[in-house]
Amino acid sequence: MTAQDNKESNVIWQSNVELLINRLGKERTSLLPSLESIQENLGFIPEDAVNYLGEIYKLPVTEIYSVITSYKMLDTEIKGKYLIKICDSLSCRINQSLNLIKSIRDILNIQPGETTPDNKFTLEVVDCLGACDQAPVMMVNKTIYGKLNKAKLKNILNDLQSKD
Amino acid sequence: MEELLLKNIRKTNYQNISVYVADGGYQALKKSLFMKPEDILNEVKKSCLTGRSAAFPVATKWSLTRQNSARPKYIVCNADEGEPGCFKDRLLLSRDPHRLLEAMIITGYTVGSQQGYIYIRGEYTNESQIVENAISQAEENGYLGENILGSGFSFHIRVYQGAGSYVAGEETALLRSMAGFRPSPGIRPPYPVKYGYLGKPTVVNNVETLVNIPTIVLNGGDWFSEIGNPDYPGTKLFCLSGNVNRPGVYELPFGVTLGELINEYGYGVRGELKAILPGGVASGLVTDLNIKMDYKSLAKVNSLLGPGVVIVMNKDVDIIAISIHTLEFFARESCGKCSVCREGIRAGLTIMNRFARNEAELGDIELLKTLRRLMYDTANCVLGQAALNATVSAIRLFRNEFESRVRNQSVW
Ligand code: SF4
Ligand code: FES
Repeated sequence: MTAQDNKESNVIWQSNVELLINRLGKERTSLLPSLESIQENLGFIPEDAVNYLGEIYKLPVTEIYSVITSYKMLDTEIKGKYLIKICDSLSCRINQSLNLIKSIRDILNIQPGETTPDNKFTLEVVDCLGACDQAPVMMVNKTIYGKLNKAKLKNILNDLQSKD
Repeated sequence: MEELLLKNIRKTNYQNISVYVADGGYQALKKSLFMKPEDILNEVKKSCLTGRSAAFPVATKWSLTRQNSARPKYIVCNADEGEPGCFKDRLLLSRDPHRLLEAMIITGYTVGSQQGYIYIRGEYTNESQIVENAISQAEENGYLGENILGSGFSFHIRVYQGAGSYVAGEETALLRSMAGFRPSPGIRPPYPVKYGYLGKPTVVNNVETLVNIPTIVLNGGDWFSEIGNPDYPGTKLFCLSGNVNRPGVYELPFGVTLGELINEYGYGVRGELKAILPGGVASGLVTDLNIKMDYKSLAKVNSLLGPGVVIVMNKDVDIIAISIHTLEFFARESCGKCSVCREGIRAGLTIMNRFARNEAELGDIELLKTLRRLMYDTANCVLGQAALNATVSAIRLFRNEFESRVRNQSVW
């Protein structure tokens, strides 16, 4: 991310939070939607944003971090462009999710929780994605891929590799 | 049997309000607005509809909220489907969203609330979008918003998107999440009907429960009470997955046997049957296909129906590994508020890992059972109470597999 990009995305997340607060109010009930909006815009919630929210909601930043850390979909660190969430909950586990996780690790050369050096892929092992009839399942950004096997997985990752 | 819940999910373009209306949609709302709220409540009472997770009578919940003099009141639809193996709400939200809205508006009218929320799990972004669109369409067509269909009654619905927390599915945790706090389960009582969202009387019902409402209003409570199993009228959605040939969501009466569900609907077990979790990861394992899928029958075999999540396992599955897997899930998701849950799950894992390494002591089996008892008796919410259910049921059913992993007694 260049300094210029950074500035632009800064403007976007801030104005989106302002819009949202105008609509939903400044009460704490809009805190989670604000956090979700920042996460959506930037892919994570930077320290500046937490400070900013602290002022708006008149809350200590520790309180905001305590909310952030209780949700798996809110991150305080930047993620890769493609966030791969592979399900390892029971129905997927008994349909060989562990083999798939191993394949992804081998192909991308990262461990769960890590991001590739080019910031393209982040791998996360997650709980049920609510598509268990298609187990084993993964989600890349907002797309669900079901009935996965090694070959299918390879194709999907190759496709993403060849995109920017 | 006739489908009540899934009847629309195969229809095309049903998310579009004109298709829904042309098919009789929002007729139940029209009818309701000409009825007195207490008459609607009476129909719901006669229907004997119970909540599709804890089996609590819907009419009781509604009337407690209705009687409460505090204002405002809220209707919250719990669509935070996070139970591993559960995928029924996704279907209803994405294929039949207007029926849920219609149900919530009727609920609001009946209990005297003007604001509803649908708390949708964070990962379901597409479904949220579909529901948001349905809300706008309903508003544009006068079914939602101010002065609905000229009746003078106003009701608003807003989507509240979760952000990935299993325990937020517990109703008090859900309400805290909406209020901007960490989603940790509170102590009940007071129940949400009295002290709910922002401390106000709140009806919390899940998606599957609510979508029955328009049908009940249209056909009457007596009609509904005669459908399916007399003890639990209506139908139940079962999410069938795991080692089964045709996984999916099936709508059946309560009391259907596991065998029918798995063999007739799921086209049989893939491989040779080992065990089944009939009510998700919080339930106890069972092996008997004659077991009936209803609250009482499952309680009798030390299991539970839960949200209707049936996970089938074949003989390739290592029961010790699966017990550890469920404990690891609960360890991640425990909110950590009660030490007995937080530390108990960890202790359970430590012991189970000894079995995995073939280093367990003979006393470890009893230890796990005592731990489960302790957690069941003292944890604040069902997560902690149920965390060791799968493990202890595995001991009961497959004791030899545990015993074979006990460290060889030293020979002098
Ligand atoms: S039992 Fe566990 S999850 Fe439930 S409130 Fe206590 S610590 Fe939290
Ligand atoms: S268990 Fe993997 S999607 Fe549900």
